[in-house]
Amino acid sequence: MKISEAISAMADLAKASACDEFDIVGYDSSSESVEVFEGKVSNTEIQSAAAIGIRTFKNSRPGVAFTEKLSPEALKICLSDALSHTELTDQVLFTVADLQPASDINFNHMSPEFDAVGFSDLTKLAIDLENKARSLDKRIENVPYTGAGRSSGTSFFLNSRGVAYEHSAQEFSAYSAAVGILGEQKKMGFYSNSRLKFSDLPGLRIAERAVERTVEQLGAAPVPHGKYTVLFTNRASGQIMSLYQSPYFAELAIRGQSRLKGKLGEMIASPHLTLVSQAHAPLLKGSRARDGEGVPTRDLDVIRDGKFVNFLYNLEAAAIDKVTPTGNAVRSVGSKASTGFKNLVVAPGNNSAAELTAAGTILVIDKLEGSAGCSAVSGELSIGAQGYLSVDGKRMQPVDRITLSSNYFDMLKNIEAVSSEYNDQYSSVRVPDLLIGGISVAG
Amino acid sequence: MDQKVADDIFEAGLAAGADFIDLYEEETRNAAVSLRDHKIENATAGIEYGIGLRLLYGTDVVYGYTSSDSRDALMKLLTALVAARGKSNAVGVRHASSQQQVSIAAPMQTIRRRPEDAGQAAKLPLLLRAEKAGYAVSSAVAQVSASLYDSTKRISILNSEGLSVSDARTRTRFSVSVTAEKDGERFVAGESPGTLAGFEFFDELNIEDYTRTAAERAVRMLSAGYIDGKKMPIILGNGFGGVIFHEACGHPLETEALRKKATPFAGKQGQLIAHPSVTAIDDGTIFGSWGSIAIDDEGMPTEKTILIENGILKNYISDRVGAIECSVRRTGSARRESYKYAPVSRMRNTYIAAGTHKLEDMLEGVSEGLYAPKLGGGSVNPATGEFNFAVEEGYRIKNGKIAEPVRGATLIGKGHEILPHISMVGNDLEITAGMCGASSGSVPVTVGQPTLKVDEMLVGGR
Repeated sequence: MKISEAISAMADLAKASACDEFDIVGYDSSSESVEVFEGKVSNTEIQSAAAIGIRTFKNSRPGVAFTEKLSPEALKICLSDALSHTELTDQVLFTVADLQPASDINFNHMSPEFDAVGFSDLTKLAIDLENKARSLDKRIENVPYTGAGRSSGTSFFLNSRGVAYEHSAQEFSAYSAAVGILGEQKKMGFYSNSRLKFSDLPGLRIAERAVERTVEQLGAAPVPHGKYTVLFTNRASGQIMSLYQSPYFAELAIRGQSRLKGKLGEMIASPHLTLVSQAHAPLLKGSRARDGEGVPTRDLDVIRDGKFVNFLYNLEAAAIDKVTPTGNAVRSVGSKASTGFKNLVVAPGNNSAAELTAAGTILVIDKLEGSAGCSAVSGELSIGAQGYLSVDGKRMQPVDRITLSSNYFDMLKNIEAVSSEYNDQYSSVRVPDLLIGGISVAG
Repeated sequence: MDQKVADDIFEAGLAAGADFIDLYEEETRNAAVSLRDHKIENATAGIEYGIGLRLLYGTDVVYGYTSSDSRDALMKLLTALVAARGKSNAVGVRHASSQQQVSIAAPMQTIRRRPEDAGQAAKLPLLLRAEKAGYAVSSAVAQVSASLYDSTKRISILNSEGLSVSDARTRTRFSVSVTAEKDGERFVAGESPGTLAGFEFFDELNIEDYTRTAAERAVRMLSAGYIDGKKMPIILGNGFGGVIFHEACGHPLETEALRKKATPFAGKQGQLIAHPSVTAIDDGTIFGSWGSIAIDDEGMPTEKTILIENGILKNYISDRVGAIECSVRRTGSARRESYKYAPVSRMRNTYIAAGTHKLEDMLEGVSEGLYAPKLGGGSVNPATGEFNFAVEEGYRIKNGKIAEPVRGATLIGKGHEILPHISMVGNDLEITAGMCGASSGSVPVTVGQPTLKVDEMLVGGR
């Protein structure tokens, strides 16, 4: 059974069942990829997956189930599971979304080249990348991971109140990782990129960037302990902002898991910071007309010039706070709805990263290592990092084996500048370089 | 799966030039109920189903999957894979069959109460027990979240060498997370025991103990200060402390890293790579353990693999492709999250074997150091050995005594450089359940160790 047929069949089953309301989410995706090593294709993969999930409401109690098996029997089991779960959960204050008009902008990201690019093209690019990476610098001793691929997928939404929505996206991607050696020290630099069009991928520049990232870290050493002004480059700034996005979710504040609870209208950050959930930017990856619960999306300022102006809401949190949902629900087939940015965007400043580092001693961080020491609940940040030390705009030494320690909520207030430059990734996260003072560094 | 259909696939694939073909059929039922903020927040269940088809050309892997077991769907997939492979590619290392035929693998579990017989509703009173125990610890406990998860995976593996085996794996896991709050400060601590067993694991689990452990840690760490970062002696607690070995040494010992020459342990078999007090093991045969498997995901019976013995590297962790390409023996370690991934060499239950020392021995003579009884997660770069781990629960060591708690500490180093600095191995081996993510997805593993003393490691603090 095709995914569209399965969704229709599930809807028919649900309408005929004892549930009061329901919504269904589904996806149908495929991808093809090659990985090369030492001049030959070491792995080739063809993937194709589909699944649907249903959330039923009965007596204001939700129940969720999903299936990857799209047979009539599996659909019945799935619905039966969801209905039985409505007997276990507690009552909630919300139900499925009403039919409301949504943006008519086409947010589908379809590639005109998709069917014209085949495995031979992907393989040629990957082998060229590996050869290029191996040839660029004598200190490169290995290029263990290089590959290219293409993917295509459609997500589906349908509910019992007539909301129906589909979103499709395609993309090409390629990556390379190079290991360099200097004395006993080894470093691995990685670079990947994805684009709607294969011809828009930066080609051999992918290998060059991977090697650049490797070589610039050779000879790295820790800097002395102390407090530093840190420039998180646009390679790392998006990671920081993504790690700590949940405090802006109303559902977390309701649960007491956000330190921003009760702070609406307050200055929580430097005036340099404006943070937006930008749902309607057609070129960004996370743009959608409707969210994971079928609610129309919109662009929404979260922090404007340092002031906290909006929480992000899904249906459940909006019902508890008695506000209109913001269209920020996120839902996979097997889970209850959570919350998320629809493109997490920090507004750019006026100066380039080079201008921000032109004077003074600045620790420039472009790679963060792990996130286990980071808690979005407490704001605690303790994370390994690599980068370089800049003095009056000059690159003095590559830096590694250091830990940055701070608290995210303090960091927001200590933002000294936001650069004018985003990185070159096709992504749903757009954060320029962030210059932040007062960060403890140990190494 | 229909054997005739499988045979047709094998015949067509071999005729198209493949050296070896296998099929992996999987149907998984999983179910979970979770509690948060005094409410049963979610109950969910799902069916996962698909068939993975792998062709080997020498050691080059061509892999795809489909959700249909029909002959037409599988033939279509085979045709696509053969076409994707193309005719111009050089073939990797060819090798005679290394398949170990399976008759009946020793069972790794007994199921006394099947989760589907117990039902989702049976989880409710257990969750309420966790909630009660958590809030009872302290008025500083602001939130208790708990969930009970079960999964039953049924797999069949057939290959072009005549193998045909099946297995069923039922896993159960309890997770609890407790948030403590005081004066605007928050700390979250959790415990997540899991096993390869049925619902009886929940019936017999001391849910209150696990919840209290998490709650007490959250409350204790609320008032912790910060440690100054520098190099110092470290005493790593037993159990989850083994995650450092898992990440920084275990992954680089997998042939998946070795075949890419992306490991500092390449070519070191038979050499002294660790302190002589260190013996490390990856064991798939611990009965009922979360990370155990009767057969691996290529159909080979699993085994107990000595990785390091008295400091000497003995074995790598190997799957079929890794064994051929790296000329090492297979260890029954091919694993994957699901049919959506080709199997590669992965760890199972990985631990450092018990020694003879006690915690008091390790503390003696340490004027300043860090005792880390509980680690959080971390990251590692297998190609360079660099790792970075967060200390969830830490205490300053002063003049041979455990002193005040500290938070926000991280451990930084390189796995192969730390191994020689392990100077004492405790007698209190413990293993704990976790999930391990790598190129073949997320698989259940256990990590473990006795308490260890590392003479010098870089600690990041504030």
